[in-house]
Amino acid sequence: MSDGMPGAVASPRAGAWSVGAALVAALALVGRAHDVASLPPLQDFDGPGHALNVVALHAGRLPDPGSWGGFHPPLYYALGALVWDLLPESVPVHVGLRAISLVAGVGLALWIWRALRRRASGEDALLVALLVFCTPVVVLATSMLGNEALCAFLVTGALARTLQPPPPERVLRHATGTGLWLASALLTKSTALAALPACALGYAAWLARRPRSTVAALALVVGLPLVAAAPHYVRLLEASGGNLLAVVSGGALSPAVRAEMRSQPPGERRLSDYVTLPAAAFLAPVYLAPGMTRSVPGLLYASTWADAHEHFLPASDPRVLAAEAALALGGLLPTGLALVGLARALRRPARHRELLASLLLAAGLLLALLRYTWLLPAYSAVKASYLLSAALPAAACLALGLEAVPARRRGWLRGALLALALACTLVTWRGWWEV
Amino acid sequence: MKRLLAVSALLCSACAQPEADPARVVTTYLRSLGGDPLRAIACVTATFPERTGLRLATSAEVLRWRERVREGAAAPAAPAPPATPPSPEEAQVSWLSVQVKPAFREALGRLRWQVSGERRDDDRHATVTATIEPEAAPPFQQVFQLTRQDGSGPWRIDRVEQIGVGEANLAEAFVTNPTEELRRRLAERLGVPAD
Repeated sequence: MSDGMPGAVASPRAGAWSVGAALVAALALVGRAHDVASLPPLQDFDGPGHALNVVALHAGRLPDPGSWGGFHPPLYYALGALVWDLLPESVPVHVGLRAISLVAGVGLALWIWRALRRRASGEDALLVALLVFCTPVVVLATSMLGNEALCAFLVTGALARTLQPPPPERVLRHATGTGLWLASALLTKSTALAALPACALGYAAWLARRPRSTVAALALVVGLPLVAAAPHYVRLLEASGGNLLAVVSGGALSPAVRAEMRSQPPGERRLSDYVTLPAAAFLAPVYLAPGMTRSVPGLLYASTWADAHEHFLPASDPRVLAAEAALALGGLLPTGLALVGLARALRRPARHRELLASLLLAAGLLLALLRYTWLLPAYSAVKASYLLSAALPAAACLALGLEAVPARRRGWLRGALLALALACTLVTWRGWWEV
Repeated sequence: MKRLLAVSALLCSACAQPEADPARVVTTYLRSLGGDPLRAIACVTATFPERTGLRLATSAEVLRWRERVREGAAAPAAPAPPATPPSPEEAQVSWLSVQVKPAFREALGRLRWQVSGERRDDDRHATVTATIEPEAAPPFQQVFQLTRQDGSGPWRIDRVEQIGVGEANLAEAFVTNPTEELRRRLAERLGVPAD
């Protein structure tokens, strides 16, 4: 990733790889647009809850914090209400809302490509960004209505700005821009809270020798989002009597959400749930498979490489389940490469200083999610989409891992990753099982 | 920020074209049911879903229900009313969720409807009648009572009454006006557990 690393050198077949990736990207985009239009109404993750927030804002009132999705910040829903008005009546409202997620998903992939292009070879940057776009967890989040894709796009926009030090004369302007990205993200989903300390650390690392600039930059990067989002979060805390869980879960304020969460298996968490990894995570990657609700890593992995919660793909069809298992097995390759990349980054942190903020964000999100799963021992609390804002660090680690492979063998890996992106696109193409 | 949010919300509501015509609201409602449920819920008052009595089943209840169906459990002879009425938010989520089912949309696809009459009682109350014509069942009438706040806001459906509904057109009556009572009658007729 750093200058002078082998990955930064273009391969002789760079053009061919780029053309292949561009073709798969075009197919993925068409497939995603098809999914956005063809998924039945409100079959999305918490679809009715998200939808009612849009209905409330469209009617000119703020969502009730005690409603199903009322704890979510309003930016996505306000955008949705505007899109509703712009749409012709012939286009269903939920399709317009999903289109926001799709645009955010394309933006997310473009951010990743742009950020990696400066550090890896052009074809690796394109390939990794494409694979992120095609990973089932991203496919699902960017085909459905909900605030996750938009939040991930905005957080990644802020994070990408911390990858390169700003010129000394533009530090404040740069920090203001980052603060505005973060403010938008925090007004979209509370997950963005984890990005505040991460981005602040990114600036502190770049500006360590300039304390005055550091203080000013930190004030902007952290202060702007907090000031912008404070009314929403203060409203939540007031409504919940200061219960911090209300910031991240509807279960604190909505009796219906609480009843649903309590009804879901496993019902209680044990420490062993965090270290067990059943074979079903790879061979039958759905939550009702044996051992899955009792395995946090298993369900996280399965919900990254398959539709583990069965919102999108009918796993009752054996062909669909087999195809999802193939993706879950194929996902072992990029997962392994990303772990190699992570090890490289951690072994030489000074050399990969630009990744500091991204890695910190990923760690923060993961720890927050683990805590959340402990507090809410329900299978729906274990979803990889909650980590979507860590797409950039995951992609950076994958690119680093790819670079660790000797150049003469990298062609095979690129081919395998491209084939995996294509397979993900085809398997998540809604309706193929009905043909 | 609260002010900004309120301004944004007002902007949205100003952009929205309130339906000036009660018959048009009913037309939009019937056209949007199942296929465009957000547009449909925007046609009804906030308290309308509560009156339907529909409630959400939790995941555990759904799994138990599937198990009972697999075991061939019979429907209860006299369906019991729900133990506790749903909360307003639960009712809204339920009203939207019931439209997610593919069978709901399929049943809607097998009927035609026609708005046949409109009567305005005053600035705040209107009645619209629609005739529902299923493909393979007797037709029935659906009478919509609409209200609007302060006599100038958008018309919204507040209550629905159905005339001519029997065993033969129960499914069609349910999909054009989903209520807990009709759901239970339908479950009983289909021989599946209602709870």
